Amino acid sequence: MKRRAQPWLGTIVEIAIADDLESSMLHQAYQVGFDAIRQVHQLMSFHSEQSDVTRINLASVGSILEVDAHTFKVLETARTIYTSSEGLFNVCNAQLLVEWGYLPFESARDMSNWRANQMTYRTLSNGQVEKTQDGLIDLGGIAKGYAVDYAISKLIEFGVHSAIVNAGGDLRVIGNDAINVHIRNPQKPQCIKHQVTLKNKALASSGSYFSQRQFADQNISALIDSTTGKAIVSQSSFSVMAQECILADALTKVLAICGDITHPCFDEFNAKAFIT
Amino acid sequence: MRYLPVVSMIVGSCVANSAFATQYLTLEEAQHLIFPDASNFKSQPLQLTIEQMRQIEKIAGTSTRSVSWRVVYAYKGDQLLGYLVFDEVIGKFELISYIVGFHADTSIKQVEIMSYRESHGFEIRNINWRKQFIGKMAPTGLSIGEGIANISGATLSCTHVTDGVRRLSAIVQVAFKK
Repeated sequence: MKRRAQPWLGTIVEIAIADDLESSMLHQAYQVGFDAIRQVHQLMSFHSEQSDVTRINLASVGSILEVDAHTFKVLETARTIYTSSEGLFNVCNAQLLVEWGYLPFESARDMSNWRANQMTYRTLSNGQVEKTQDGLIDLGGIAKGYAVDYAISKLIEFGVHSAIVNAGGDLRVIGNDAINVHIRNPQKPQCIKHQVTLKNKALASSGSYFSQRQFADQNISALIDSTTGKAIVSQSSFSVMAQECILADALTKVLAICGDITHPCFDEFNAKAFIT
Repeated sequence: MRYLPVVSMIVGSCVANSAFATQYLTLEEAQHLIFPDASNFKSQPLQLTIEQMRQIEKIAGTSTRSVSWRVVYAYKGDQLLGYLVFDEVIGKFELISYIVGFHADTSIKQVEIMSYRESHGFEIRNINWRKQFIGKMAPTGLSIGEGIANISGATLSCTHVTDGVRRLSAIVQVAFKK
């Protein structure tokens, strides 16, 4: 299996292709895969001034915005999982991430305070997005999963049969071969703790062990419980297996917050959750 | 640990003293990949002056880190197509070698990770440990951690790569922009 890697979406994205392609075809396949990742990065980056996410964040309440079809799909899925998880998954907590120094936001615009369970937008049937409340969104908890799915779909379209796309631990496997995936040991992240076998499935993991730190006498991390506004500070790793990586990625946040592998949300999306 | 459907425990919870390592591209592969039209490549170290380092720090908002840098010029016949600059950065416990291709006008063309190695922080920061990889760019040169290719876990940020790319971009602008 040949591998390539590039820095995107704030992490290292790796594409591995097992098909026996001649060199120029293989390079084209990587190009197709990384182009898909780049596209999602550019549309959904919190940091870029031109991204759809920034346009939504800078828009005033009541605005109706045209967004790219990819951004629309991610926002729509984010709302669906928000509803199914009774608010546990929520992309509208970025104000707290800015306040805690995880994300930069330098607009002079006044922001109202963060509110529990706030949902600040709705998707309209014509593909547009309406900003319904003040607040900042960040798709960091779902866009990597979507980027993986999109890259996989482009690879399939190109004619690739067997591949893995891994965006910083959120990954999806296609092909006839089962692939072993190792999950980090949260207590010793440079070691592995578990092995999962995947075949035509996606797996994502979340944990606070890399992002945990102190802020104003409290322990914080980049994982937020949107029902309380408190950070998830845990020594566990939360993994979800699903058909699509967008679901696996987003559902790891539901699992990290509720800590319950039997939450009905996982069945609803045909996903399996486990805590290590 | 609670319910693990298809998860198997790794005995001993740690692969003792091993590193996760992946070699993605050799130097030669990276050159041809980023500049497929180039007919020849010329390697020439870049030595920065103090004044240039000051300018770079101003543009990049981060320290220049080194006076000398490995630069390869890509040519098609006599025509300069662009530049390639190599660098390596150390994160929490990973050593990442990467290459940035720049157009002749110094704008970024492509960023590629050449190798990624994880180990205990001590080893990464130990120059002798790092030296063992120098010159081992051939595809068959490294086999550490071969069975551990696919890792899942909390997302490891690549801020140090992003900062590195910004630094290289500033270096190339200051040194080569006409």
